[in-house]
Amino acid sequence: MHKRNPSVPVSRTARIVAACVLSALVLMAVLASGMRGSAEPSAPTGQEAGVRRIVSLIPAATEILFAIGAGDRLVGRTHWDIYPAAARAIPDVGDGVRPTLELVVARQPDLVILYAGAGNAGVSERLSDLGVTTLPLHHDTLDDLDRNILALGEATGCQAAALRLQNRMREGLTLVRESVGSRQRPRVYYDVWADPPITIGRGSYLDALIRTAGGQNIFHDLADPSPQVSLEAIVARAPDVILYPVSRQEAERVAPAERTGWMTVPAVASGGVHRIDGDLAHRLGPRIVEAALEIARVLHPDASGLRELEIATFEKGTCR
Amino acid sequence: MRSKAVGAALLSGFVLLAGICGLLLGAAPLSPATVWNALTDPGADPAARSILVSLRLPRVAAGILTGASLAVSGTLFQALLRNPLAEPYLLGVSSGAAFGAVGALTLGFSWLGSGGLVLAGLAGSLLAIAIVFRVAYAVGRLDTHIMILAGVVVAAFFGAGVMLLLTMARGEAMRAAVLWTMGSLSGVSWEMTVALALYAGVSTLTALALARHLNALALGEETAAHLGTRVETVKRASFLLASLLAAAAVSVAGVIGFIGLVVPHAVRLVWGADHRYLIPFCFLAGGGVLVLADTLARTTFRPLELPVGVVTALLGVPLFLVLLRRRHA
Repeated sequence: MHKRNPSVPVSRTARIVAACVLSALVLMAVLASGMRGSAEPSAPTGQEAGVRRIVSLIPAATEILFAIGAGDRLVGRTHWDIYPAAARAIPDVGDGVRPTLELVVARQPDLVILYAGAGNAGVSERLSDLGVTTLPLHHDTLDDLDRNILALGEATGCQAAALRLQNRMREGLTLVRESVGSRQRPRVYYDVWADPPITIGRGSYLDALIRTAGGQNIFHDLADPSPQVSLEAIVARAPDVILYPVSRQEAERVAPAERTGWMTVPAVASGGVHRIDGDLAHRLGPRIVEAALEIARVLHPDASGLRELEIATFEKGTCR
Repeated sequence: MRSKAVGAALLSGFVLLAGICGLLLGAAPLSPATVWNALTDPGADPAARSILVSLRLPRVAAGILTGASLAVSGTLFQALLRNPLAEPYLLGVSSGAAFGAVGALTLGFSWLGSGGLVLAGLAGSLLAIAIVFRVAYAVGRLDTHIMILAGVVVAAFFGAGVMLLLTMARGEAMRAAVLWTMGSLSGVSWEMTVALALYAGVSTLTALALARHLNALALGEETAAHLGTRVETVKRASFLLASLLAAAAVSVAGVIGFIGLVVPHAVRLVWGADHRYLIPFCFLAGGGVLVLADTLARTTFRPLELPVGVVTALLGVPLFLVLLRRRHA
């Protein structure tokens, strides 16, 4: 049985608790905020051309590096890199968002390319603390892509090849735009996800790509790059065409015509659903020009110029 | 008494073993010799050294401290609320932290970095704790029934707030927020680990000082009062300690379920309900369990990482059910 404890120790304890916990709290706050010390991620400067071991944590950046002839300097890529085929042979370091730092460091890179977004908050500082140079990139829009091709060219010393790639892509997109000409723009619904329906807004590069391909996104008024919408809103906006992307490694998707309630969308009932290659469209890399061409052909089957157009913006380039 | 000594030895050995496993195994395959060299020789291969010293070691240490904090927090809540279902997240600490962190991520404060995220989580959980305390504390008395109700309701409220933030979030912020709520030790640094060590150490020692009174409290508040315990002071102190331990753990590592609920029960089943032993044993057991689970999370699907909460629940629940069944048979 318990002894009759004098009650003094408890209240003293309580005071100690308060004091200790408070001081620990303050300490934690100070330490945690101090962590941002070397906040600004170090941009690669000086001997860029000397970069020999690159880890790319953005699949699209991997494609770009191969296209500008720096692919052979890659010593690490994400689990999700599938293109070009040579990328598969590079050691897999796992996820690109919230990466497994251990594996990245183990590759002993002199440059790590990573996505600069909320998911990677703190990762760049962490790598810098470990003595690894990082190149954090925002990679969400066509402008980002344009800029990042040059940034990657500069970081690897392949500026000339980067400029060539940039020009090739601009020319390709211009060719598609000109071939469509002033034809009437069909109203497009882009089917990212079926249930709940998720599409693209003007914040997505796909919105711009559809415009280049001679269509208009029915949810262009939404700023969110990937907004969730209702089936009713889709019906109300009556798209002429539904683009339905399927990527190769994805399990077969349920086609719109087979989904409950989707027959109420006019385009579904009238056969306006078109399957496109999700691998081309969903990587913001050199091959989006091919995706634009594919979409343009779907939207304007009568445009003879498009039928004859042959575009391959991706080729394994040489650095110099 | 003898079994307690054996228990202490067993659990210490368990933590040590778990820690060694955590250092030896990881995403990057390193041989035990390399690991030993990297840890002891400053001139060793710099890549291996930075993996061990800057990544694995703080992660293992933070794992022990997080698991320990959760288990001790759960023990205190179960004693305070005299409810076997009590666990660190019952009273809205995790929902508050999630609200803070997800808010920071989706409202565009990710430039604050990982330290900022820890602080946002801490702020959210402290807000939840303050609300629950204020509601349950009336006329100089902490009403545990009101506390449970207030806690559950506050948890639901912040949970809804998180859902709202997630629906309004843009794609990338949403992914970051969902990853945060799944819980992971991947982002911990030495600074966080040191802060957590001070925090968990001080709080656990203070809880240990209250152990006798917690034992008395188990007999009922009135009986405890007759036995000379200042019931209200003990209740207030254990509520604050338990909440702050949970808040620290959840801010650093996100929501890691199961440990705070089940480790205290498992320890109680094996070594009895005396808090003088229960608290330190839970500290050790919780720490060891989380480090083992995290090691599995890091290595099972290498190079991808599993959320550590998945491992703790998938492996821990069957083990616990076996233990329950044995005791009742």
